[in-house]
Amino acid sequence: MIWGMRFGLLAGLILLWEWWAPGGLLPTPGQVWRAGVALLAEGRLWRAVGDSLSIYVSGMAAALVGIPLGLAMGSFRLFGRVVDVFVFALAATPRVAFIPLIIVILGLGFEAKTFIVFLGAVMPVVLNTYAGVLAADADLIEMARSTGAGRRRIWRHVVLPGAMPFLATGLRLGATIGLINTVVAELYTAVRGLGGLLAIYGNTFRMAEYFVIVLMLAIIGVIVTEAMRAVEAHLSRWRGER
Amino acid sequence: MTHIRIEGLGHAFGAVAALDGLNLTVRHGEFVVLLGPSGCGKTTLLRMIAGLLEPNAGRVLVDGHRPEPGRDTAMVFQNYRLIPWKTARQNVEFARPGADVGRYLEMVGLSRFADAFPAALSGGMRQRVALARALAAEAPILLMDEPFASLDAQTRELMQGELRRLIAARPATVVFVTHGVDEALALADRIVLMSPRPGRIAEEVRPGPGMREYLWQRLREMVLNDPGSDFYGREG
Repeated sequence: MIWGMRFGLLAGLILLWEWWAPGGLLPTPGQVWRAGVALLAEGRLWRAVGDSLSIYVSGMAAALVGIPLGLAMGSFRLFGRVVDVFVFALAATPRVAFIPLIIVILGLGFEAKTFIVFLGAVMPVVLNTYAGVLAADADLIEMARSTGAGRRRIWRHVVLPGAMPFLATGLRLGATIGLINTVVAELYTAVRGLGGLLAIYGNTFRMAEYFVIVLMLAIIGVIVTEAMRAVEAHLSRWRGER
Repeated sequence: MTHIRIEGLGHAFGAVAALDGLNLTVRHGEFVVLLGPSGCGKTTLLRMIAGLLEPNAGRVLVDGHRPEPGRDTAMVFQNYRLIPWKTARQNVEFARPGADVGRYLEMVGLSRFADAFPAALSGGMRQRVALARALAAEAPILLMDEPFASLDAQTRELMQGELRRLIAARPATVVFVTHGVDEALALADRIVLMSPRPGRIAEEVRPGPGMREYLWQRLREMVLNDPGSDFYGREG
């Protein structure tokens, strides 16, 4: 039902675009479609998608380190209070500001790009996991104590599962920022992948091809967000129908 | 024979005194109801008996030693406090891993709902799961903090009957907190009336004829004479 309505809205937007687009610099949907078919036939688009996804997946995998870090910050209060101000400071600083430094240290290749993705994705993962542990239900902890449960058992059965919905939200936000940072990394370092094609077609005003890349990024974004939503829903299934 | 001994118990939350010089003994197998208006320290006292809160003064002894949560006492809370991501069965098992959970769920009539999450259960059913969890602990003392307060009148009455039946089948020492006179009279062997701010024992009575009116009158006086109460000064 909801997907039917979404496709209906998409069809409506494409029709509106077709009717409104003047041609020339702003391509029509038909021109974008033909450009997309040509890019796929050349294999150029798939190579770019492969390059971008390898950077994105590597950066996201590295960002998972934010889960144990956030759990440790929330579980060991002294450690959390010492460290959190630095994490907040890092999270508030635009990641673009670090790119020259990253290029100086890691160069222009795969490592630098992966690190830029990691830097964007890890912050929401750490901060949400940390918040999830801090938001542990004091009433449930007292109930667990009333059964004679010790710290470790309380952490395993009450604190950790209670933090899971926060953690899933952090992963979803991290996944979105990671995708944005993949393109940023490809624009600022060695020009490759979808970000690289975006730069090439944008600078040469090949707008039909440019729109193909933009739409491909949007499709990847939707797939990633829906997958993370499914993970979130699975971790919160005990909440029942809402 | 004395099961719980409370001696000179005092506690304050910051500048607010919750309990002051409280003494009480509860015998083995006795059903004691703590009755009093809001803010008289009933829950604080119960948490101390459970070993969840250290008193500032005095002590609580269970069979001569400090109470150990889970082993000496099991507690039923007003707001159920079921772990929402665990099923009814898992919630009961949490009290004592390896317990025969099916038996306890059967005792409270919830065998069919063993695999349901709390969100799918009604208020009365959730409280029965909480009761099954407390029973599963097999602790000799059952502490109940206004367990039926958030239920509708009909369900509350059913639950009171259920509790009486369960205690008859599996004897335990019970300390039950309520601010409902009818509930106290329906359940108690002995009613301990507490006065507010700071909490003290005002009087101990046994259920009997004329007691309903008497307790209502005493509670009314306490509320009207309590400077911290919302009702202060309404009369006169």
